[in-house]
Amino acid sequence: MRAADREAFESFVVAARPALERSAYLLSGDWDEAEDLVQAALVKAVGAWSRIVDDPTPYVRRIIVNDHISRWRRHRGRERPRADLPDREATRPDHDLALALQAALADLAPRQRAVIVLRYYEDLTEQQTAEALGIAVGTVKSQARDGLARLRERAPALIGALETVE
Amino acid sequence: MADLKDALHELADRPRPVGRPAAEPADLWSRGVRRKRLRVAGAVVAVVAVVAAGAGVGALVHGRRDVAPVGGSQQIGLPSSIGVPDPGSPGTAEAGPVGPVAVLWQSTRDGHDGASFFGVSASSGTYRFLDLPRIAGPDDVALSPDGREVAYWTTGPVTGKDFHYSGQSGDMATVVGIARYDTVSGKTRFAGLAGAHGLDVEAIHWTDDDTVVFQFGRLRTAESSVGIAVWSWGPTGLPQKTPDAPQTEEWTSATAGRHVVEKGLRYAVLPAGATRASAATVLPRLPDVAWSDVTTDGTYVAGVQVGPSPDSYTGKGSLRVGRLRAGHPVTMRRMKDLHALGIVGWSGPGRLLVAAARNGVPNSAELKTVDLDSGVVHDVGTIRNRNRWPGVPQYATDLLTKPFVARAVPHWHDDRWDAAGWGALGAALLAGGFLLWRRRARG
Repeated sequence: MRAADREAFESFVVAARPALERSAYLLSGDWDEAEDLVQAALVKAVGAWSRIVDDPTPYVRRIIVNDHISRWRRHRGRERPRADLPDREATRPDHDLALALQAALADLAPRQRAVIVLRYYEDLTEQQTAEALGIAVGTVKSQARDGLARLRERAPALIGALETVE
Repeated sequence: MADLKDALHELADRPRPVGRPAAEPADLWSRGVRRKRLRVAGAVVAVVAVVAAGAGVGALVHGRRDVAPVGGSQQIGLPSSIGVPDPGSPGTAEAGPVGPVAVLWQSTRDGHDGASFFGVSASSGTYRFLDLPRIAGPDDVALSPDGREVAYWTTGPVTGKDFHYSGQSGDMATVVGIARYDTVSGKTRFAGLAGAHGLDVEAIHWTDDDTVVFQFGRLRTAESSVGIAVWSWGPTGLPQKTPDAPQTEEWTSATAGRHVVEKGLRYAVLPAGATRASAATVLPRLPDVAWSDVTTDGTYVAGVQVGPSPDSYTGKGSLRVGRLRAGHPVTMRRMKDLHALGIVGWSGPGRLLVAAARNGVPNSAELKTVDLDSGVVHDVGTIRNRNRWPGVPQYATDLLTKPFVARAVPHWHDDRWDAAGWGALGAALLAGGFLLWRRRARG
């Protein structure tokens, strides 16, 4: 592989890794898991680098999402998040809302969670979200609708925030 | 906060805990290059293997790859060490039934997407992939306590709209029924259960060597199902609906004619054939934390508290144990220095078998027996290659009371490539040293 490819890859890692890890954290709910997901995705991206060098982010993002869903499926039934809110400091309304959102996200099925994160955090279009997840646009719509309904049910404190995305 | 987008950013931007240092970009690149080369090498090996098979040596190759019994031992028991087999190892479709299995686990397999299940023979230690006909996916595959049968959900065509949805994962193929694979005869019994659109399924458990219980509803839309009920399937005939059995959010374990079920953090021990009336909680409500693998022998209750952070999906948990006393709440005490990955089962009254992380040995786990009366812990086995397949295998629980048997852990082709590579390097260094010595001797 060419030295230019390597330089481009290293520049991409430095620039994109923090954002990818934040997104992976929203998917997994765990920082260690997020770092593992991103690291594994970046290693896998090297093999396809010459094809994706112009715009590597969608490729890496897709690996992260698919790996997360695969890992979740393998561990399903062995470990699961608690259903209620963790007892933590909550000094600001924003902080309360973020904690409520964290607990509610943890209660979503992984694909629903991925749709919510890609649509409303990454700000992808429905088409881009569908491509990232390898599913139909109609499925993105239904998963987003059901995911929002689930969030609203699990975290009533979010109702004000969720109304603005309907 | 204005909207969901802001709330998500607020959550993602919160200060993260101090973690391990991130890998350097250059290191990631090097690992990626090595990974690509290994994949290319693997593809070349696969092509060579195919050509070799075409030349008539396939049978010989497969014969070498099958992991042979160790030391001729035919003693029945659980293997003291297990790993994952070479992805090119044969399956039951070509090599025949493997017999009662002591361990059921998953691994990657050449020519198969996703995970494939393999069994380790209880009598010989032979590893063999199980060709489970019409298996819907990797979730909810259950080994009977005697290791004789494997129960799993099956897929097939539906007459109505195919929602491609099952349970929470949404990644299994459409489920239309259940099957029992006999590890001795190699035959499979199927039972069709489908509604028009397939099934919404929950976990499968064995309550004894012959009876499998499961819960499912018939899908009405991609997200909802009707007629959710508990069914039971005995050694003969077809599955029967258990009309008044309590439906549960999760069935955590089953053993010795009873199973533990969970509904909203309240756990109950149900005898086989229990009704809602008889399902009054035997087990008091446990502390309100995230649990997995909750189980009881009737005297003690044990579970793994998932952690370390309460919102974590991953990581090791702590083994917690309490004593059941009628009319009293359970106090769950932590077993010190045990980073539990999962509970395997009960190896005797008050004696628990757990899989635990090995300190200082990555990708490996230890099997330990824990005497809950005395707190004494004994190492009885190891689980290797967890980097190649995570999680904890299923063990034939009838064998938990028998002594573990020493068995070989199979070699992976990676291991052979590693050995060949080191051998080639050593030969090259020797040859280089010899040439250098000759030049100097001549000079």
